[in-house]
Amino acid sequence: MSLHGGIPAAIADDVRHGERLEWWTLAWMISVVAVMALVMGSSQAMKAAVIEDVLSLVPAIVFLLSIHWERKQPNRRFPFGYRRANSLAFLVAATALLSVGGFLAYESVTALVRQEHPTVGGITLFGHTIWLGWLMIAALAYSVVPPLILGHIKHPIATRIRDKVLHTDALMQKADWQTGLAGIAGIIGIGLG
Amino acid sequence: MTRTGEMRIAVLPATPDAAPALAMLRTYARSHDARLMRISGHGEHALRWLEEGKVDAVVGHFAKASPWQAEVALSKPVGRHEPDDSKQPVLRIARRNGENALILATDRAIAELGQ
Repeated sequence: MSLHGGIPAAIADDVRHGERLEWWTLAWMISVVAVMALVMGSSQAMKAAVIEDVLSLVPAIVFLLSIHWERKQPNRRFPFGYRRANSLAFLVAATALLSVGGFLAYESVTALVRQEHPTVGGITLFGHTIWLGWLMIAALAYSVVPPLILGHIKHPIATRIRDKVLHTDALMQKADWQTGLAGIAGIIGIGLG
Repeated sequence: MTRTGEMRIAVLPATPDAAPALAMLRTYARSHDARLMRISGHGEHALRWLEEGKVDAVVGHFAKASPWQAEVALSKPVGRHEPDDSKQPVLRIARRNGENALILATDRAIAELGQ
């Protein structure tokens, strides 16, 4: 490490841990998006949850990119290194988090104003027709677990290494599992009529 | 339906094969102590009535890629497999969005009929 390049030794282990968590986040969240997309039907709540999960990949991706750049040493073109990459990554991650909040608010308010009636019908699997809502609830329950665990692990690391991007990602994961729980409540509400 | 004791069904003109769909709806109505009431109406009118809740279901020939697919809940084809061509109209039951009990019951009945 030099004055303007590399990761300080004091936080190198935590940064590597953060990186590993972000790779796990990408793997788990891609699986969550795939499962949710399979069962989303025409439910607005499910669509919002899927879009929210796709956007939640952004902070993890930009954290990995920023760490990749931060490790680079200064050169003639960038004599003060690449540490500001983290600020750019924070801007992108924070914008993604803001977009998720804005999108959820817009979807919820417009659905309420238009008095839309969500349709959740049946799906035939192995010769049996079951209510699609059960699959949606199962998918949403699955979508709650990875962000709940990963976000919980990431938060103290983000605090230790003072990384705004990782902190934003931990907040995004919090939004993820809370959206999942709200979605489950919504589907149960549809089931109860 | 439960308030009036009547289940209002519009059958679109040129639907000579509507009988199995009507039988399903009659069974559903009977299970809710209601009777089926047929209402005559043309395509656009009937589907608009369905959207507005003036009828409970519309029986007719609809394509999977119908322009109404977002406005109403179209069932799978009644008594046959989904055609390869998504623009080919086949017998379906159009239900009002959000009428999930009727939608699930008819989905189940259609799946059982296909087996």
